[in-house]
Amino acid sequence: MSEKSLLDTTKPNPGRIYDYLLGGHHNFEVDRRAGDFIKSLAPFVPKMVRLTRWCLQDIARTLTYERGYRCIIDFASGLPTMGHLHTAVAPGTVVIYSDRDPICVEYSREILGDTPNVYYFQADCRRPEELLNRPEVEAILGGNRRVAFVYWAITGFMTDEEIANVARVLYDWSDEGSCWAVFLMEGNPEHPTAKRILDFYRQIGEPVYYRPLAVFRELVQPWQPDELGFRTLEEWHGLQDTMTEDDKQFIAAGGGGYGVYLVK
Amino acid sequence: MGSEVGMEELRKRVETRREALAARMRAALEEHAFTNRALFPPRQLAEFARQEAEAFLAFLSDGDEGVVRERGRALAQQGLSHRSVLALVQALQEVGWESANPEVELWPSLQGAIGRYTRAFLEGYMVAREESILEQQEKTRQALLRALQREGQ
Ligand SMILES: C[S@@+](CC[C@H](N)C(=O)[O-])C[C@H]1O[C@@H](n2cnc3c(N)ncnc32)[C@H](O)[C@@H]1O
Repeated sequence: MSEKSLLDTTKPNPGRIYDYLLGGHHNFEVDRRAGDFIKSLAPFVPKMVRLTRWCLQDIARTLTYERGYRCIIDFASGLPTMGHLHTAVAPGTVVIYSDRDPICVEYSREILGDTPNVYYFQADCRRPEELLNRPEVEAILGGNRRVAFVYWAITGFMTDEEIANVARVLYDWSDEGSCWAVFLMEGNPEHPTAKRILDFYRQIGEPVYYRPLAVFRELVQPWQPDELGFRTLEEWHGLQDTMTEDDKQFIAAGGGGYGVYLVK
Repeated sequence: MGSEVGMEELRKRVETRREALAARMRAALEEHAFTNRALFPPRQLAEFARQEAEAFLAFLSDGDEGVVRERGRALAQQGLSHRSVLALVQALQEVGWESANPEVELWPSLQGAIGRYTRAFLEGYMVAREESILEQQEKTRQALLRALQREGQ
């Protein structure tokens, strides 16, 4: 989707559809209609987006309180509303958010105001070097490259090549001991429901990709999962049986995907 | 009709059912977990239910409706869904009734206290929810305008 079409509010926007599915009000009628269409195809989706979004507070605490990262760089952040990373990190942590959508960036800056240590930039997550090499970002980091990256609820919008490229760029740029929290959506693209959802996203110019865990593991090399490994969303939240047999036909059992802390 | 039972008496009564109240509220929250927004991850629901039970007990001590209204307000801002709110109210009524039993003469006073608590809570919740929807709409409009202006520059 070009920046121009992101500003066209007569077309559904995936970020705002996501917000609607989460129960937010940062969306327009066209996004709500799109969200309702997706829900009608796959009633599990609103649950899945919550399972996914709930992880962010956990990630913020784990990365900062438990693992001592002083800086989190988040790509494709969406809106930093309550429950996003900066609301749960240890005091003094620097959080650098970014998103490609200009409306989202404007809105986010308004939400954040002068919140200390929290920044928001416009950037494309497929080319992380553009954000990392910005003079403002270099100044904020002050040479610190032992950081935690986050790509949450976004790799499904990236091609295999894009993910592999991002993995390489982040790895080369960061210092030993850095971390990458990332979420993978897994599903069966051949299932009729999945096909209709994928068709819909393709039609609005935002193709979505389901890929198996084994493929994803390869793509993120040379990053390695930590001792927690790839956890399903249900495992992540200590839940069971959030899905029906129908849901599991087209999207991975355990909540629809896996979250992982990858380490360098 | 017997005379009004004092709040202190009611508090002592409900306190004997403190654990049951927290457990029932937790079950209510878990049932509707997927209707809330981001701030109520499943692992935190038990703690949240405990706080909710304590908030009601505190109200029976001080009768402060302003505090309750503020609580409703804060929870609306954090994205607690109306379904969760209604389920919490129901849990409160059920456990309230059980606390009054078998001395049913306690019930009218307790019902009155639950009513005042619920009204104040819902008032804070509903006002904040409406405000927040309007604010989000306005901010979205402004952000769109600014983005369009920047693009035109
Ligand atoms: C599904 S939301 C996820 C938001 C957030 N990471 C979360 O987990 O709640 C996807 C966000 O990614 C943004 N996005 C989509 N493609 C992008 C890209 N290529 N670069 C940067 N942001 C992108 C959208 O604008 C939207 O805000």
